[in-house]
Amino acid sequence: MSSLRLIKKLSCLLVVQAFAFTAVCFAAYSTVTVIHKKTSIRADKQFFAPAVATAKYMDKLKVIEEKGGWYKVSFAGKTGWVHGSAVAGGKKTGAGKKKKGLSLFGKKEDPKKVSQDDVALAGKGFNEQVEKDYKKKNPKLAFKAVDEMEKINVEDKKLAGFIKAGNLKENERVE
Amino acid sequence: MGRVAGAVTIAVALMVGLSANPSGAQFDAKSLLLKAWSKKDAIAKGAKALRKGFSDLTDEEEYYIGRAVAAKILSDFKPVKDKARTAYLNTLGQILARYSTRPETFAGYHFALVESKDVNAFAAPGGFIFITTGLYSNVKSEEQLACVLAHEIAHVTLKHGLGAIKSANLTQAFTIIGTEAAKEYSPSQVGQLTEAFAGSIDDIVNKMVVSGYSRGQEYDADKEALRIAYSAGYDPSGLVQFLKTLAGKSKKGGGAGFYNTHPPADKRASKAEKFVSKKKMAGSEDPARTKRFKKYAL
Repeated sequence: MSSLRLIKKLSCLLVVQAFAFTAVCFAAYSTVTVIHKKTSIRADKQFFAPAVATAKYMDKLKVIEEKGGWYKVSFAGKTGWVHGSAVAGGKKTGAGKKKKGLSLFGKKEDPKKVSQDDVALAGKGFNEQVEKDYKKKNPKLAFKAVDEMEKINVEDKKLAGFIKAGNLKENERVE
Repeated sequence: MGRVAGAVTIAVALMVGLSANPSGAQFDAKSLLLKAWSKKDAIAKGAKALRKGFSDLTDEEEYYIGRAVAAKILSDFKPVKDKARTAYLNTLGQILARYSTRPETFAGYHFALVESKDVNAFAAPGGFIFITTGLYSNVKSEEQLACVLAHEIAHVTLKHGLGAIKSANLTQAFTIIGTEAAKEYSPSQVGQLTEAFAGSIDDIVNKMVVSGYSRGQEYDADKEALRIAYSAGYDPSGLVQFLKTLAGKSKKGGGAGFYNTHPPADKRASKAEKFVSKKKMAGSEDPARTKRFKKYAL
């Protein structure tokens, strides 16, 4: 095959791949991945709103809209809101805001790119494998007590009851 | 995604090459392809090299660091087996955490009461928070306890623990992670990562327990604690009252721990009082909360 024919073929490929690339980019905007152990999908975009579902690490959530750092998502047949800090792969900027000064090779930090890196880095680095090795080398450390500590889970209903019984009325955050 | 991006990079490189050589006669597709691949490789390496400081650690990595720091603390301080107080601490703490700037961490916030006469508290990265019985017994109201817990939550949200990791340990870890695409590491890589991990844990524990955070970090954590407590509906002056109690004890010459790891309590109380007044964060104790606290007081 001559060089010219190769170039023609690759040029055709470019068009096809450009479409594929656009599709992949679009997909990145329409789903987010859970990067925390678990997270609640809530009826409203508030931490004390009732949970409609629980999503686990690496679950993919279909994004419907984004508002004030929360994503309205669809997951396991339920629709609700998930906080932006628990997911990655979608836009992390305000709803409808155009990201400033972003280019593929630009120096400015891209919130979307950083969040996609979070997905790429999931399970890497200081992970379970490293902890296992560390435990083996430090057998006297109280990891079992840490496991016990982690098992304590306070249900949303109990939190709400505690707030009500203590007459706690939230104030707007002061900066 | 990487493959598609790579293919596009190559295709773009080919187009550039074509436009630079309109005749196409001198065009060497093979060398251009190689050049494009090496450019793609350089871009990938550049992206990985972005991870430089502690703030680049993922929430998941922070969690594993926090677990190991917590394991060290719980090896030195025995957890108090008191279900009622532990549940009280966790309920109050988790409400406060939701009013912080980081309401969610990889595995959430967890609180424990530990045995020690020292007046002290520790916050391990990721949200593992410890209060000594010595500190708890000096707390006189739910407002004060809320402010103490909020102060520790603030150390987590401000990543003060992670900030103690020496750059050499981070560089070592990021270099290994950055050159390895797989999530499973070879025994030698695990060994190197564990070495960096162990160094990082020691850096944090040393800062938390021995040398203490800087005065600036403590004042920042106090300010953030006041914001959190006030947002949740607590009277932020609970922190001022608690610090004044400690300041009184300090003058009598009592207490280790807390006094070694924090700036003087009277100065903190004074700064906190000014901040509350300046920001007009008015609040008051509630009889229902006072009654509730009495049930769990030490």
